[in-house]
Amino acid sequence: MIEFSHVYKTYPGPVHALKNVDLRIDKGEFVFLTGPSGAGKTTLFKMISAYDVATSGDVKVAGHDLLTIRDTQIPFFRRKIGVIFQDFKLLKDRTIFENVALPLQVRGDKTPAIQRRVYEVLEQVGLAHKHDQYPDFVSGGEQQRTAIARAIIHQPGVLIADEPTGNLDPRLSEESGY
Amino acid sequence: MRPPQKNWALKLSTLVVVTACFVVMGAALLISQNFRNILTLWGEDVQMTVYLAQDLSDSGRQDIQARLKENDEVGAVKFISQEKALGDFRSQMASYAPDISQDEELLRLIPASFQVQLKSSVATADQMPVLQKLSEQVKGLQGVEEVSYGQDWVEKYAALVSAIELTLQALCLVILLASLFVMSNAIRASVQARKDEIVVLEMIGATPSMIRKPFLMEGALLGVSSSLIAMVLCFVVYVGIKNLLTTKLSFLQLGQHIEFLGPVVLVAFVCVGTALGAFGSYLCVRRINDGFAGSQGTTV
Repeated sequence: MIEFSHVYKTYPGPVHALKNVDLRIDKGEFVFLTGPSGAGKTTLFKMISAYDVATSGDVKVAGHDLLTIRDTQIPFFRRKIGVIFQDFKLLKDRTIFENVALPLQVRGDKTPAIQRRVYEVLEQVGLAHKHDQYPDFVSGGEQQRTAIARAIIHQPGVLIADEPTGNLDPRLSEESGY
Repeated sequence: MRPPQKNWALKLSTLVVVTACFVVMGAALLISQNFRNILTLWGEDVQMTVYLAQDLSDSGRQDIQARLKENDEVGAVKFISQEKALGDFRSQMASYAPDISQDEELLRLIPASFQVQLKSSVATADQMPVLQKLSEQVKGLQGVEEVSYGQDWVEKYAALVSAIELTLQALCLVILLASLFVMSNAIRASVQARKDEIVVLEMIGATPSMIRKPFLMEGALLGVSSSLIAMVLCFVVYVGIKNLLTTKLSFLQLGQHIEFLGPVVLVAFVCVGTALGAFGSYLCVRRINDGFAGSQGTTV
């Protein structure tokens, strides 16, 4: 599902962000990536989500070779992954329903199907009753669950969570299950 | 509960800045157009006088008149008889030099003449060579004593018109470029304020055109609304100036020659405004998916 083979990444300087990284994460695996600041976590994240290209080596994610992928194919590749940001990145001028519906709208799904699926996922994360609320008017934990709902609504093959509890207090972190 | 409308102040300030740009552009167009009107008005005074010999017969005079009229660039040809010329001279000089106006011998020397005006279709810059050529042709006709067309005045007038038109064109170009720069920056600030939205859209797989579309629409809407508001403001100022010229400054006799922009120019102005707004937005969002999230470093 995710495969890095002899991956090097060097930024101008030169700064060697990644050196000879070999990594294989199979379907269904749950992997934590930890390390000190500057260890290369951001670089790895950018490569998995096709925001950066390795200097050398092979990167394959969800069946796509990210070294040879064309620019026009990148949006379609990203529809196969789900991302949860540390600061959630919810759109504040849209309701929780509208935020969660975004990936399906981008994919071009029909409105009735979107409504059905959004309520299903909101039910799953326990936010169905807050579907018409705006992000600034719900708690941090609820914002995080909204972000999770948005990341999983299109049933991605890969789910990347960027320090998903970094902005939550310990009690809410525990509640969220991360 | 409604979301906080944080972008209202930014949107309003963008609208004000872009409208101000369009007001300056509209004012430059108005000034340019009306300056041209006034210069054309002055240009109507450009004429040639063909003085006739004292002993010229009626048929000779008619022949000269016919030769003048057959020229494609000649508009009106007016005959001033010796009697009329004498009458005009008397009325003009009576108060300044009464003795001269009573001197019959001297007055007999004033000849009959033709006053020749060029067609309005002759461009100001072409008036001088046309008059020179015509003068050479007419001088050779039998019965023509002298030809005068105020060479100095015409030359200076043509040079003035060329200089003013060139200056106004340069000014319009500078204002247009400055407006595009200001608009682009104003829209860029609006795009920056929505960068989170772009990051999210990129991350969930929106194509560049899907992301750009609302920004281009917003830019175009900004262009339409600000150019329309600018035209309304320009019209209000125009009405005020016209009122002033027809009342307190009526002695200038310019009131009836000042006009607002025509419908074609108005439509073109709004279309250009819309295109500028959309293009300004495009300049800000053309590099999307390179992208905001990638370039600004999404941390892990």
